[in-house]
Amino acid sequence: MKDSEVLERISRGDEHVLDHLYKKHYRMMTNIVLSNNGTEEEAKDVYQEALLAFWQKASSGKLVLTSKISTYLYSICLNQWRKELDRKSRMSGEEVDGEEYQTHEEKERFRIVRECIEELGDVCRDVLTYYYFDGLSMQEIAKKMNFANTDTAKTKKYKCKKKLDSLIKSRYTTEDFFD
Amino acid sequence: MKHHEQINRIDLYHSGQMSPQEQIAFEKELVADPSLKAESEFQSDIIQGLKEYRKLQLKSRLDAIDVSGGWLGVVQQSVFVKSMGGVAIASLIGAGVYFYGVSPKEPMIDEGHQVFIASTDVGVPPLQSQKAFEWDLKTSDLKSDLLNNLEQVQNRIQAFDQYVAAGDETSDSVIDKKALNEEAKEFVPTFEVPEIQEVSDLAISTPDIEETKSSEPVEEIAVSPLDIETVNTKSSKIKYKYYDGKLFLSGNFERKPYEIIEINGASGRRIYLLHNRKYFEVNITDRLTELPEVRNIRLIQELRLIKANK
Repeated sequence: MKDSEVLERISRGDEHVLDHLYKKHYRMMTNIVLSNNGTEEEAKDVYQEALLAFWQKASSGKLVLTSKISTYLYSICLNQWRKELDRKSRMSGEEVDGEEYQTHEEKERFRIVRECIEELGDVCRDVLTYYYFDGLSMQEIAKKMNFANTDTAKTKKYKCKKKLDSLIKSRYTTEDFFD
Repeated sequence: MKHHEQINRIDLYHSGQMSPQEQIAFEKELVADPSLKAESEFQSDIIQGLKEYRKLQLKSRLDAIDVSGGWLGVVQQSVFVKSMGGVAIASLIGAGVYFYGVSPKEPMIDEGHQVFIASTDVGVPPLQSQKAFEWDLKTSDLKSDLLNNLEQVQNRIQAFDQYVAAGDETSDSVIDKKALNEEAKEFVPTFEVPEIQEVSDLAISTPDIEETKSSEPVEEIAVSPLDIETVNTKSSKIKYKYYDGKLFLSGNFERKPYEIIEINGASGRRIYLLHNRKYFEVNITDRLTELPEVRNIRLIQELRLIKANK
């Protein structure tokens, strides 16, 4: 599959392309981490993060690709692993505690939101995640989800978002969230 | 301002869809209006949660993909195996073409068909005529040779006609054998000697086959991984150390990453590095040395080819 075809299919939100790219470049990308003191798990994580960052940019149409996709992915993996190594080397005991606490706090807040997202129906969940993560336009969402037109997608998104907001607000007070 | 309009503006702000001017204006409003700030933070958490949710969803999709591919997958992705595969295919094609090119001569040593081949080469018996031409071109000798051959052919045609006339159509092989017996007396010494020589020439070509065999242990070399340690510096020069299978690199890889091209052959492992469109050769050294750039145009072309095909 040519790079141009890959990008075109990603812009339509075709997730099979993601599978194809993942499999195609797995060995090459994970080798960056594996050959630089990383574990198999870290290698997989770095590659998945890089691929999803690429997916997000490409699907939202914000990507201006001046090289091959493999080169682009390679540079993201390399930079991510370098940052991770820097983070590891800079980490002191005190900073670790602070960071762990912060991560725990974030995790807790994410858990609350996640519970509410899971309570939404499949359609609402897909509309909202396609919009906020994949950055798909209302037109693309309408096409992908077989809605009658763009206006239907807009209305759906508005109602789903409102539903999610009220779900979270009804269950948690603002103090729970920000204290 | 209506609530849903406010939510829309917060949406645009968090998804980076505001212009720089709108962004600055909105941030000023956030500072001035605590309730807007609280709402914005609340929305930010929800958007973040949705993003994380989708990310996890896609990650679990990726986790379900089998990337092991077994040994075949590893072999298929190996640059070395791909290049060696190309060499092997080229060798096979070469060997095929060579043997196919020689094969038409094989019937000449096949006794069963000797009669007919001799008859088509009546005017030019392979080595005899060549030798005569090379050493002493005597037209009288050539004439007598031609006449002798013509007589022999006429004899064979007569013999064949006799068998056909006698109604003996039971088997062509009988005719062949009869003719063969006659030809064995007359033609074998002339034709067999040079043909045996040609067959022995064929035997010399066996090193081609040995060459492909010699590549087998090389595959084992390709499997051993290269241990690379990279240090990022501001210097435009790339320095390296390479010993015990460990490669240490220092250079400015922040903006432009490097790429390693590993070639494993019968003579051992050769490593090249591609950075900023330039190829460098990695040699074994335990001293921190500047990486030498590859200047050989043919080698650069080969490396480009390998890179393009990997």
